[in-house]
Amino acid sequence: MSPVQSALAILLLPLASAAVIALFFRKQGALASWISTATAGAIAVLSLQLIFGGERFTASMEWLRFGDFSLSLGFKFDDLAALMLFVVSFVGFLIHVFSLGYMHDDAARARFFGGLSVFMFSMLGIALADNLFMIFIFWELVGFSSWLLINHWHEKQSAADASKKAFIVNRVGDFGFLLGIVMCYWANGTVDLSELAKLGDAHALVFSAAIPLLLFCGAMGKSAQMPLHVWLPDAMEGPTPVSALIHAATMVAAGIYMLCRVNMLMVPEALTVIMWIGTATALYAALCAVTQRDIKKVLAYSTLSQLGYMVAAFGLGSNRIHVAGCSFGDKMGFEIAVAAGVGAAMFHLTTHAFFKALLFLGSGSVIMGCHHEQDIFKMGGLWKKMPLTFLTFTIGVLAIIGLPGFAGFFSKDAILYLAMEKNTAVFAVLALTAVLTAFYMVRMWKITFFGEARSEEAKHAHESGLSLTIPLVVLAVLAVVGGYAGVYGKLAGGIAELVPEAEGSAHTTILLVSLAVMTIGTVSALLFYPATGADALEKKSSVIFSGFVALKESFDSVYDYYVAKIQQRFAMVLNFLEQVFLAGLIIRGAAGFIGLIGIGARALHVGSLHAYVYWFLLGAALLWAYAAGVF
Amino acid sequence: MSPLHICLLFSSALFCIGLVGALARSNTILVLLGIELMLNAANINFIAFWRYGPNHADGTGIIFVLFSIAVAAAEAAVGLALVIAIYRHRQTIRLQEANTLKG
Amino acid sequence: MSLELLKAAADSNQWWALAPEVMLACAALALLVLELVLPRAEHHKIPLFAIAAQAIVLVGVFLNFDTNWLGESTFGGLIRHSNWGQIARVFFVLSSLLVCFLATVCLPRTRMPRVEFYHTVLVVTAAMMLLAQSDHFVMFFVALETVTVGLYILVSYFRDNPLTLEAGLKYLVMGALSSAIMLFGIVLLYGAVGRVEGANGAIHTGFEFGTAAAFLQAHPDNFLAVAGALLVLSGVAFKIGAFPFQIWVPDVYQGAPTPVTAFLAVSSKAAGFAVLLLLVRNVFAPLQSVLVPVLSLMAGATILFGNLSALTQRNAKRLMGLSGISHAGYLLLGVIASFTVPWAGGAVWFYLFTYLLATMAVFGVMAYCTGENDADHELDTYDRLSRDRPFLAAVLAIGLGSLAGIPPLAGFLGKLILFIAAFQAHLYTLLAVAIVGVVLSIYYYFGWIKAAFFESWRPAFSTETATAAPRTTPSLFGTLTLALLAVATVVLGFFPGPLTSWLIGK
Repeated sequence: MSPVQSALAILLLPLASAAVIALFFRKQGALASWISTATAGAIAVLSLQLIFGGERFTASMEWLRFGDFSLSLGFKFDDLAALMLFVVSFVGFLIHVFSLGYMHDDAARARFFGGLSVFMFSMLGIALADNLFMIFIFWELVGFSSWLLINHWHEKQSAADASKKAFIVNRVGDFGFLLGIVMCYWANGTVDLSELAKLGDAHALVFSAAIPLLLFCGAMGKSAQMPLHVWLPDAMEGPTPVSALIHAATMVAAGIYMLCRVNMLMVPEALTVIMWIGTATALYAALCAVTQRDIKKVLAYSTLSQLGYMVAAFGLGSNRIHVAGCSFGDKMGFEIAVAAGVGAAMFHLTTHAFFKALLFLGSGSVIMGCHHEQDIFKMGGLWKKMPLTFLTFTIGVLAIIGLPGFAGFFSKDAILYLAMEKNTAVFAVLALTAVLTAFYMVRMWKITFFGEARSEEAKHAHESGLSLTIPLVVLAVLAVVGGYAGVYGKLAGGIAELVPEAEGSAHTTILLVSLAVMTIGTVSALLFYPATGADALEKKSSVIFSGFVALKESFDSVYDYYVAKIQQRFAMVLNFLEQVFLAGLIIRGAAGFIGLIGIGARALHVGSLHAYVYWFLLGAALLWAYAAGVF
Repeated sequence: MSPLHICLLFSSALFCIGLVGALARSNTILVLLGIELMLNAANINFIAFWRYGPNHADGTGIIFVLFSIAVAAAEAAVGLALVIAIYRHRQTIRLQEANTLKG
Repeated sequence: MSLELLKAAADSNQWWALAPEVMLACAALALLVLELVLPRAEHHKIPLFAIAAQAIVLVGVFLNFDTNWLGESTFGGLIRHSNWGQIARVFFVLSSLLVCFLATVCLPRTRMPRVEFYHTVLVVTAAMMLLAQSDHFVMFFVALETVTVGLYILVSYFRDNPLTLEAGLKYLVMGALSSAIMLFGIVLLYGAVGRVEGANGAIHTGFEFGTAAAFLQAHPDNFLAVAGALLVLSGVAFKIGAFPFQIWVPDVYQGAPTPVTAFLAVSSKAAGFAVLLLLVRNVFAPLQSVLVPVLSLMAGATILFGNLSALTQRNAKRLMGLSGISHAGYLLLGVIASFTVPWAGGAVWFYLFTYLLATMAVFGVMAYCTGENDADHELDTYDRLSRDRPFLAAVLAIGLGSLAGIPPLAGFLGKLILFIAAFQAHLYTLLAVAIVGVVLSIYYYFGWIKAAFFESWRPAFSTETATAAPRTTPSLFGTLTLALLAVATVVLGFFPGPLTSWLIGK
């Protein structure tokens, strides 16, 4: 098979699988799930072949032509696309395998797996597309299939509401995205990525801050950046594999990927905005995560926070040129600056896809083991009952908090280094976020797995079956090795070279900082949260422990006060802002206003012929008056 | 005032009378009659433009009028049939009664 | 008029050039004859004859698409054959074929005579085909009135249903009024143009499109002519249901029998646009500076009015009518663009074809989901449709999705191409209005899909009283037709190339 043919096969296989399931196997859930998983496996194999085959190509065909306007469909398979393809196809396949076990007893299994296939199709389309318009088409398809999947348990009102919220919020972002594409076409005469890059090389691109910012609106919706982040925590109403696939590894990463795709259109002003939005999201979501009780909600906010990291990393590409006060003319130096952002963002995107999918799937295994209990305070003591899940989950936690040697360490350090070089304020916020990340992750980890079982469900927890644990193990391996140059360099090719690397004293500084923030967060979480019986710790090192016992009592009261007076109120304030500002004012308010006009317009149809005749007369009179030049 | 102007004034008056009939009457047949008057006003205009215009050698204006009369006749036939059918159902042909379809 | 001129006029009566229309008219007459000669037990075969005859005409037009008559003018200048005329022929026959299919579903439920229905549909379709090829105001007026009078009959066809009669009356009064206004417009144009001496003694009048256009070119600010043009356009605006002549649409759509509603929604609207494109391109092109603002205001108001008033609508047929108004608004965008962008007319036709497929699919589902009285057709009728009749629900979803412009369905491409045309014509404000309209339309189309798919979202108190909605199982023929429409809508969304090159390339 030629590379183009395998790319085509990769794209069309999931569509065929979805069509076959929808047409023939709606009732045969078992068969449908195997078809979908086998397809995902085939895609993974084909993509690996394509990625490591080494060939990079573009291919397109004209899709429709109207006068002098033509649209083409095609593939742009460069290193960036190869990396994204790997994340989508490989992680996607593992999640399919996981779903085999997780959704085994679901009544609507066929619909679920059909939805997964549609989703894979749309996501692969985004990864391979060679022009913005095609990206938009698949973008919308991703929105549709995620609606389908979040809405899987649509008998639950909360799931129905969540899917609706995700759909509407994403439409808001997509509207900006579409406007951005239109403006790009208007300004540059093409939306083809390769041609845009060519124009960029020839210094012939028309720059305006509006185009990248409008395109960023689309990323804001999909990658859940403030203020369009509201849908992601609610979307946890979907089945857990969906959360892993869509809301951790792939769909939310699409926004970052798209930004990297259009990096030639970026201007410093837009990058500054992007940087600050990413930074604000990272901090805000980390603060929110501290207050959550639901294991999936913690992971959801942590995803938001990590996405904020990536967006901030992309935005950080700008500042070197900004400080130097150069104009757009100095394209060369500018490009290098942006590229560093792309490298850091894509690096973190990849490692995050590994460890966050691992964490979500681990949480799925925990939830399954605890008979669909999601409250971490009703778990406890699971490490003995679910050793494999515990082990892999621990690796995931270590990766996300950035323990040296794990994948997250390298990618987070790259971003922190970039921030340290470019903007001290952003660096401070991101470092604080890293502290919080370690804090809430360790908190969750400790409460979930240690102490005594705090509910009947947790007492009867059991290790999950093979189809659940195998993906966990594979992802755990990736979460460990994914950050090393030997692995990531192979996967990402030229993109890996863009990752900013600290050298000399900067290297030491950044290493110390990241170790410090990790330690602070971890230790304070371990001490602060009293959820454990801490038997093991007390026996092994009674000296240290007894030293903390006195402190512990005071910490308890501080914690109670914190929960009752600060955490709850803070959550309420955040919730209130969210309700009033987004749900109330923007979405509901606009809908209500338009609904009112709608009722008014409807009332014009009074049913009386005489009224209609007058209406006609009015029209004719207006036209006559216009002809006579009254207006 | 030229004959053309007189004819146009006459037809305009006719058009307005027809329009008032269509707007103000509640009897469906009279409303249809009003619309016929409006059509005929246009027809008179055709004749006037043809007769006092520069081209009364050929019969274009007259021919259009013939067509339009035929069309109006077809319209009236369907209209009256409709009125009869409605009368059978409701025992009334008041236009105001026909307001079930609305909203 | 001299004898030679008469003879020349008679020589231009090339009946072969009008073979499709003549065949349709003959088939219409043959239907009546068949009803007389066939025994009563065989009468149910007559609709099949009508469908077969139209299929033959459709294939014939398609095969002879590049006929020798293209660009020629026949019947003494009444008719001008063009590519768009050929496209219109294909469109109208296709549409009436589908209307006849809907009638085979709906008519047997009532005690109404059947043959006359098909007869009238065939005659009206032939008249629409003539209308789209007319090059003369006499032809234009007579064809348009044939369409209108035929539709009066069809709208009030279920004469034992008071709602249908009311719809018929409303359509009649409104239609007659608009005819009168339009006739007045033609008279003004005729009066303004007067007589023009041709090259070899031939006499031209304002009735001829070419002469009227030449006059308007020379005198673009003649008050009589401009007023006449606007009044003629108001008559066309009534047909397409454009603001402010749209007020009749929901009432008539609701009361009319479902096949007729489909006929009004597709054929009648398309006829309006065919003739609007013809007028804008052949006659009123010199009035661009006057018409573009008028049409722009009309288009914007039409889009907003249609979408806003449809938002809270729960009656399925009214909803189709009101959303149809908004589609007319989008199409007007293409018409305005065609002043400056040469291929915009093709974009309008492309949109009409996608609209035909989607609308007919939706009406096909409606025909199977309605009971005795198809005017009481609420969205609640579709409750649990996806469970009872998953096929119908799927077709409905595809049709409505295409109308809403959801990618990758054909309707999305239709809108996209239309919007690109408007974009190239620099109609930015209108484009913004249209996009707002599309966003609004997703709300009510999805409300309908929701009603068909997610019964649990309904408020609890209304489920108790709802009686089981009457649903007919589609016959094999019906299933095939609906499946074909749905598949065509999907396929056209992925491979628009052949159709676009056919519509634009010519």
